[in-house]
Amino acid sequence: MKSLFSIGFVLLALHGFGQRIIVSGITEMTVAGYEVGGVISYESKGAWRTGAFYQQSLPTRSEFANRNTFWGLINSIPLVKTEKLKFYGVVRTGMVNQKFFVLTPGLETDLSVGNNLSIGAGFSIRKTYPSASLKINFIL
Amino acid sequence: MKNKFVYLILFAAATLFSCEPEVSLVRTFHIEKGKHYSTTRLAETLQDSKLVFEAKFDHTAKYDLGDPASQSSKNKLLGFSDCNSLHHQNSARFAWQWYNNRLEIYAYCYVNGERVENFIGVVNLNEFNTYEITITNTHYIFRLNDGPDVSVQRGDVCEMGAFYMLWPYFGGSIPAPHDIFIEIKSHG
Repeated sequence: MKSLFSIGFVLLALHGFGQRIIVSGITEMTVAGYEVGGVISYESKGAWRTGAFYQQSLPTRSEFANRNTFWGLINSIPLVKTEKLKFYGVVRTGMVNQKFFVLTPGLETDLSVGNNLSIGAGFSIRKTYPSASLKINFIL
Repeated sequence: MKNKFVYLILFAAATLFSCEPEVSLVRTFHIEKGKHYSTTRLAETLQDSKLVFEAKFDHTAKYDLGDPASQSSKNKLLGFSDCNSLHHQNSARFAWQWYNNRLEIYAYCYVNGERVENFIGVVNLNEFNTYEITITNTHYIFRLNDGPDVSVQRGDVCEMGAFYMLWPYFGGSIPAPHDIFIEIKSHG
């Protein structure tokens, strides 16, 4: 109970300074199949975001594809900002299967659909091929 | 206005995610006459313990460099550097050469800076063949189609890090005597 109050206090304080914590669900379509996962990130007053992500691939019909996990850090820089719509440059750095270092550049758009909810679509390069992603963001 | 964006994103989602993506994609790598490196130039790291691809050579894989020593110099097909190593220190690649009037495929590795070349097999022109390199804790396991495994011991490398991909390259020291085309079908 005490920790819940602490978290609530921190969120309120962040909100007071125009900063936010965002929890997101993500689905990404890569050349090797679908991946699903989540992101938790901190957004500054200037809409810069930094956080952590975790994704896991879904089973595919391909005999060659393995089920991979991909986790690491995600950083987003706002390129265009309006009240409802933002475009970000995004870099994900992390490990696949806790062994392989991967750096993934991309672009993402974020559309506000309510006070505490936004949805987004993204494009990035995975395994030298384009990938597409969808995100739903809950603003705490 | 907002609703339009929501519908647009939902429509894009439905389009993008309505079917399973095609896993196999073919790229043609072109090594120009007088060059070593192929185009398209790509930067990527390996993301799996198994590298699987198909490759097809055509008549441009035939060449005559004049003397046996040059002719037996290995051309590189595809592979990767091992964990945080430079590729002349620790790496594993498939290599090829036109020799004895046939297209020979080799395992081509650097292990702690020492070069290791092991013959794997022969492939025909104008047909796709499947190539596999599996990384185990101690070895690289090479396989061509359903042929026998060829294993090469790994060097002293880290357990987690960057494994940068190595793409088609002609040579050795002598550049391509004419334009060479190699089709490579990735398996994600």
